[in-house]
Amino acid sequence: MAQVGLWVAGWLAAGVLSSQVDPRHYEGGRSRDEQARARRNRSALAAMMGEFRTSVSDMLFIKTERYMHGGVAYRHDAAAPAHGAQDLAAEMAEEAAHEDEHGHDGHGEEHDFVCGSQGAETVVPRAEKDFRGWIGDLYREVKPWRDPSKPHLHTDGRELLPWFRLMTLSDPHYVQGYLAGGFWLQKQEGDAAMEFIEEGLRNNPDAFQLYFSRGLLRMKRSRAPAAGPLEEADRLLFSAAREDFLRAAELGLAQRPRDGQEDASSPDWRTYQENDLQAACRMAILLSERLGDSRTAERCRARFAVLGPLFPPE
Amino acid sequence: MIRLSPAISVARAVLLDLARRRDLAVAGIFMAAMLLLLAIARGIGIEDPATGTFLLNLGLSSAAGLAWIMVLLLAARQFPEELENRTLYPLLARPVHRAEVLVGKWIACALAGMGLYAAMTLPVLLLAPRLESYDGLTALQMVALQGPALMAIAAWSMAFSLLLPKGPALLVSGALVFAAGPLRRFGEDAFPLWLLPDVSRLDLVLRYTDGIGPLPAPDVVRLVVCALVWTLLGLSAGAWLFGRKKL
Repeated sequence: MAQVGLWVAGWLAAGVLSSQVDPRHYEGGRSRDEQARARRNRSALAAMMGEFRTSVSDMLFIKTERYMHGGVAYRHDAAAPAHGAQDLAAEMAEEAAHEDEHGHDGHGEEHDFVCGSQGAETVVPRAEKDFRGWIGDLYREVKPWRDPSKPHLHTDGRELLPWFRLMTLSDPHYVQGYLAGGFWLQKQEGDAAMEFIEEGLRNNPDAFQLYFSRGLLRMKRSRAPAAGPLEEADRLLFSAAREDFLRAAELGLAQRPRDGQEDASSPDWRTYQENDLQAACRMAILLSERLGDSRTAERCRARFAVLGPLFPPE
Repeated sequence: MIRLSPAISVARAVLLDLARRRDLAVAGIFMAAMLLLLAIARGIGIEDPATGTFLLNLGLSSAAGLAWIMVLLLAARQFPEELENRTLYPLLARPVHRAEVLVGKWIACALAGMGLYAAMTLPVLLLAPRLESYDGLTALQMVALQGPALMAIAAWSMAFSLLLPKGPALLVSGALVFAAGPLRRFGEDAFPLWLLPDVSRLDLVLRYTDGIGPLPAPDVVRLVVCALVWTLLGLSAGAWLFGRKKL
């Protein structure tokens, strides 16, 4: 008994003693100096390390896509971004615009997710393209496989959420992860999605798509009718959302190459960035009109004319 | 009372076994990889002081981390493997107390860890570009405190391996070693988090590469006492468990 008492006393004493000393508790230090950190991150070595981190995020992204397709792996155009973030924001914008035009009917129906990889070939080829004969047949039987000509099967995204958390933890600058994670999260819980996007914005203040995504999430919170006067709460939400769309549009326009096309000179600008930018501009104009601010709407139309026609001709 | 002579004999046997296995080769590969990285970095020529410090931190952290992992693995396998292979029985048939066997194995694990740490840290300190000022006394404290840290890790890993199967024991002791520090910092040392044995407090790598001066002597003494108490707790728990284990 005395031994047990001594053991417990020792444990308590060590705990108390150790809590009195923390060698990491000091003022300053190079690791906390922002300038030193920025210099270090520019070095080739840090770039290599960063590349590894980015690769981990990419692998996790591919993992989420496979989960979403029930384990079936689809091929993508090498130039296209990994599916998952692709057109998700545009999908949300479409939903938001649809709700804006037709109002919230309260049915709570969800639009089916339009998969960006629809029509893409599977990694395990179909029988007519597979030279391996019965080995290929066996492969298709034992591996998750689906005829690529058939519509894709999608899970509800719930099981994807931890992967998005992991990929943004491994690389907080992985904007696609925040976008796609926010999209799937808002289907489960809007507040959590907003927090996730806010975190993405803190880590990536120049990512225009995240502002766009936040604006869409704000709009989703509103239960305003399609037309008619707005309640104060809805007006506030719409105003905040419009600010996000305007910020997204300005940032996007600043980052966009001159013609907005995918080419070697602007490897970071893809069709889906262009689509999101156009959607942000459209939403800024639509919301300005909905808020009765026709001057801002006109100014936006003039400012965003560089993107070409944003609305179909009436 | 534990006699030192049988314990040292057991320790020698464990070290001999370690030398015969591939553990040293694996450690050597890691060491070679780190040396290669440092040699390449030196060859390329690091001009930015911040990058030099980053490399130094990376090398020293890897050395400490690998030593911790190796001690964890080594200590966690001592008893489960000996029991599985039935090699413990001839040893216990000799006039040697169970606690002496435990202490002997613990000495060997801690020594092996210290050896690996020294073998990896020394080249890093010599080869890594040092373009900023670092405090020599902090470096001394950093190296010296690794000894007690490795002793505590070996003791706890061994105690858990006598309580749980090898895999779970490794998992739990690994979690204790690597997660206790972040958990305590996250919870701001609130009760009951401060009860967790946090060996990461004995890791001064960041303090050293941040160019911060040495810890005051009373703090060093406190840390050493903590580590020794944690070690004694681990060893006494291990001895108690081993003493009551049905063989």
